[in-house]
Amino acid sequence: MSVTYSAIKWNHNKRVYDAVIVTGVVVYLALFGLISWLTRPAIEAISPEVLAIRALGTCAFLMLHVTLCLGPLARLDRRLLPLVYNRRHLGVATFLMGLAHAVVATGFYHGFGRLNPLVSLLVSNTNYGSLTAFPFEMLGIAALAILFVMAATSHDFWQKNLGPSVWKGMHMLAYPAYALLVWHVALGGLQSERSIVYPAIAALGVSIVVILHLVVGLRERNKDQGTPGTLVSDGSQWIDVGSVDEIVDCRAKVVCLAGHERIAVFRYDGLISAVTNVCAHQRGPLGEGRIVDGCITCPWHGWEYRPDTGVSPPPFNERIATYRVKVSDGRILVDPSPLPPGTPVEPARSEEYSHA
Amino acid sequence: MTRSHRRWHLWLYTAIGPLAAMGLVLGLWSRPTVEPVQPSARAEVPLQTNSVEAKP
Repeated sequence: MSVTYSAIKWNHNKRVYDAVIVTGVVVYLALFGLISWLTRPAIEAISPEVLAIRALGTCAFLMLHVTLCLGPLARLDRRLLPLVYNRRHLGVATFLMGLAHAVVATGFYHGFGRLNPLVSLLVSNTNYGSLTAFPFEMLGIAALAILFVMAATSHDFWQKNLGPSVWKGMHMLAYPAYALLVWHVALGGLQSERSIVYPAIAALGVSIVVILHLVVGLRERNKDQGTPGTLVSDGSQWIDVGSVDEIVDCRAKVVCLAGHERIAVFRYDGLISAVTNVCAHQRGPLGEGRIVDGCITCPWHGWEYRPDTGVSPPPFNERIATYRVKVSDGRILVDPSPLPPGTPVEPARSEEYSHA
Repeated sequence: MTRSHRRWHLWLYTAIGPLAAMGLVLGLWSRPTVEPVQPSARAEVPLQTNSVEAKP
C-alpha cells in the first residue's frame, strides 16, 4: 500500500522474489547456450550473436508464459498465491528481456548497412501480403510496445491515479501482446528451425496458457451463476449463506449470489462480518485472505481492511463495501445489498450459536 | 475481481486463445520446405571443382 510516490517499497519478500527471477534468468541463459552448443551439429553452427538473440527471445517468451499462468494457477491452488504477490516485477523483467532481445537482433541484422538500424528495421521488409516472408519483426515491436506501457505503469502510483478499473483493463493488454508474440515466433524463429523441438515446445506453451485460462474462466463463471444462499422465508431480504461452523476462525466463506458481487463472510474473535470480496487495490479476492492483527488481509498484495468498517487502518484510507449480517440458530444471514464503502456495521456474535 | 471483470476476462480468453493457436498453426504450415541432401549426389561432385588451382 502506498499513499505517496516512492520507486519501490522494498521488503524481504520482494528481495527474495527478485533474486529468484534474476537467478532463474541467468540459469536459463546459461543452460540455453550450453544445450545449444552441445546438441546442435557442427553443420548448423550459429554465431554467438544469433545464439544470444535466441536465448534472450525464448527467455522473454517463457517468462511471459509464467507471468500469465500465475493468475489462473493461484485460482486453482491457493498455495501459489504468494507467487502473485510480486508478479509485476516478473512482468517488468519480461519486458527487459524482450527489449534486450530486440536490441541485439536489430543491431545484428540491421546495424551494418547505410540506413539507421531502426529505419532499416521498419522499411527493409514490406511483404505484408506473404505469410512465409511476413515482416514478423513488426509483431514483436507491437508486443514490446504493449509490454513497455505495462512495465512503465506497473507502479502503484499509476494504479492509484488511473483507478483500479482503468489500470486493470490496461494491463489486460498482456493477452493481445501474448497473441502477437505467438505470431512473431511462429512467423519468425520457427520458419528457419528444422528441428521439431522448438515447434513442440511453443505448441505446448500456447496450449497450457489457453487451456488453463479457459478452464479457470469457465469455473469462475459457473461459480457466479450458483446460488448457495437461500432466501429467508419471513419475507425479508436476508439470505441464509450457511452455518457458522463452516467458517474457520480468521478465515472467510465466499458467497456467490446470482446477480450480485461476491461477498466475503469472515469469522474472527467470536464475531461475524461481511464485506465485498473485491479488494480496492487490484480487485483481489479478499475472501481468500485471512484476518491478521484484526484486519482482513488481501492475499494478492497484503492490503488491509477492518472487517466491521471496511476501512484500511491509518495512515491509509481505502474503503470497501460492507454488508449487514446477523446470526440466527447458528445460521449466517446476510443482506445482499451492499452498503456504501466504509460504512460501519455491527458484527454478529457467532460464539453463542456455534456448535464448535 | 468484479463479476463484470471476470466475464470480460472469459471473453478475452475465448478470443485470444484461438487467435494465438491459429498463428502457431499458420506459422508451422507456412514453413519453407528444404529438400534433403542426397549423400550419393554429393559424392559425384569432382573434387577438383572446389579446389583452388595452384598459382604458378
